[in-house]
Amino acid sequence: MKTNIFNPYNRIAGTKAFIAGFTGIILSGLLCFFSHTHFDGVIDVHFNDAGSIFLFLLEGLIALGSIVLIFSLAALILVGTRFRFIDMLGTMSLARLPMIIVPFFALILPPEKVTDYFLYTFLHQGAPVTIGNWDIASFIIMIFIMLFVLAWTITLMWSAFRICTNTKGAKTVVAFIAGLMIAEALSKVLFITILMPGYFSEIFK
Amino acid sequence: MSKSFPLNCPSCSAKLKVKSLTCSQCGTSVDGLFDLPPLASLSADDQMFILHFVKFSGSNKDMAKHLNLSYPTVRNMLDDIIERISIIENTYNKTKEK
Repeated sequence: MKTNIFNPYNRIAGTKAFIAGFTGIILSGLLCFFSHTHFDGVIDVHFNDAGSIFLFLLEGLIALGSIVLIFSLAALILVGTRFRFIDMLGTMSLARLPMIIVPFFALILPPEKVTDYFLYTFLHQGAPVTIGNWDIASFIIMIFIMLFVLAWTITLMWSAFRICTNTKGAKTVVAFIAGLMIAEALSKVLFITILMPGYFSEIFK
Repeated sequence: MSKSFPLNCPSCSAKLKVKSLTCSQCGTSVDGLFDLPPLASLSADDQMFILHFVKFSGSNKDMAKHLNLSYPTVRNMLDDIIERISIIENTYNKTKEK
């Protein structure tokens, strides 16, 4: 039975996993506040403006809530009530633990200077910025860190979904991919509804 | 060295049956062709799991603690054994019908 950093769920699930994962999400929110890192989606990472600490904490909670809700519904469709909600909540919370690496490195290698440069050069937004070789190098390192963390998180979510539903084969793969896409869409709608009230009424006016 | 109980034919992989039973006290032998009971048809690991499961009064939580595994892992192991027992029972019933 394989237990490793990509599948720790043979040993940990349920309440213990939830406590570890939830602590990670809160710590991650605090680091995001200082490094201006936004997890504004289930598998989104952006470096934007500063904001209130509650905004950064809420982003992590909305992402987790969307994942748990959609994958619990997917599990209900796949296996009925033969799964425990606390296992889905715990394992999916723990799956987001690697995300803490991104705001941590964003404090060491702040990518904002390069993103501001891109914004000014290609979209003519903000003030002109000059960047050096080190800025570009640290930005590339950050991209690789982000890609690794996202891949790690998705792998953990896949392991979590499989262990919670005990299903195999094509239907599990389809349910997981569809669940991930729907959860991403739901998190975006929740972000806009909660954080940008009136956005949809403006669009559909 | 402990010998593992053979379940399948090493030549054609079909399920093995019991041909002879011997009394360990007087040596009397009974010959025939007996089916293995469903539980004996499971692997040694599965049988050990069921043994522990009964000892822990069927509590997945206690089993998880004992085996140092998570609750869903133990529940999934149990589900897999239930599936294997169903397959064995179906095969057994089909053989009986013949």
